[in-house]
Amino acid sequence: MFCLHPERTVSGSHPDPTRRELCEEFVDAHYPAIYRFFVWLTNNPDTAADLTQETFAAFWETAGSLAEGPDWKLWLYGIARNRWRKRCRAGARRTDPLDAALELPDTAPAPGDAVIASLEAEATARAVADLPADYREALVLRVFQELTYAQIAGLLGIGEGLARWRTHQARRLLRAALQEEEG
Amino acid sequence: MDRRYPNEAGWETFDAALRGLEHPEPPLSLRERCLPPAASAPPAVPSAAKGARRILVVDDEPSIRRLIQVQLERAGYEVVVAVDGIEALETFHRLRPDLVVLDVMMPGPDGFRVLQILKDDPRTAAVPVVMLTARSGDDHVRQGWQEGVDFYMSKPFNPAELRTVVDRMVAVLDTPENPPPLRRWLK
Repeated sequence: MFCLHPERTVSGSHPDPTRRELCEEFVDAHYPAIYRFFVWLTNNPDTAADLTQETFAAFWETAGSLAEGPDWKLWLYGIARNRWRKRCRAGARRTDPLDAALELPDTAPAPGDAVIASLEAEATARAVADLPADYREALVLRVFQELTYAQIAGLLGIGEGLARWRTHQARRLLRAALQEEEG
Repeated sequence: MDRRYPNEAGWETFDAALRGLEHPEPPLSLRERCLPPAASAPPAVPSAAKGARRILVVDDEPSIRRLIQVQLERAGYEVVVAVDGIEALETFHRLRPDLVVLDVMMPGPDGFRVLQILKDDPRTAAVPVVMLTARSGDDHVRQGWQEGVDFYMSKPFNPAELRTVVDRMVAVLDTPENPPPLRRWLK
């Protein structure tokens, strides 16, 4: 069995020095992505750094008790999501309820070249940050973090169809916002 | 893919353009702040109110959480809550509750997984867990007992009955010679 916690073996005795290296590898592999996840969600680098740090602190707390089997990356994103949600609740940021029907065919035209060409990091970050929270979360997980819909569904505790639908709505809203900005 | 749901046709270029944007780089100091703490400095656990036992209530339904919280707080317990399995483990390790009331069906790791993690860890295995479940089939109940659950309650449950169960379990917390009989029996 494998235990990721740096100072603890599965049996709870004799720390293994290589675990520290495993932890460092894990941090190196994931902290830039978690930081960017928060930057896209909050559009605030300072908040993103704080949330990243909080996420890893909580991860090390829980990882100590995990003997085997979890998808560590998803576990980390689960903690990250909880941190962000807590921050949203504290800051009363808008979280739109999901209220629309799911069974919508995708009839929207693909975004035109003009929109794509106009994509610019700063404006896009603002537009992403203005999306309703549920949509923003799905979009960031899908597009920027490149999780599968099944993974997103598991993480958010929703069905895969709903994960697809939220992502789709986020794309539509984002495209409209960028078009508006373009004038 | 189910044809009823939106698909990604036509959005590939849009997604690629988004991915191609300049991504922010984390500050240099962030890596060090993300590494695990040294083992010699365990975080301090906030004390419960004097004389109060601390109960962790885990349920993704706000109304159920609130119902249990009110009932247990009236009985003099300090109640902390979590909305899913990951938050439950975070809160558990941060606040070290004396007992856990745990829902089964939750986003992310479900109640059985959380139970397994707690019972597999010698530091946390002795903390009693009451599971609340709408899944009352024999297999699920047996799975819970095998994972080490200390008591099962089926939803819908009577809050007063839950309080009585918690009272009785807390009453024997300081007497480790009285392990939950059903768990011992199954092993």
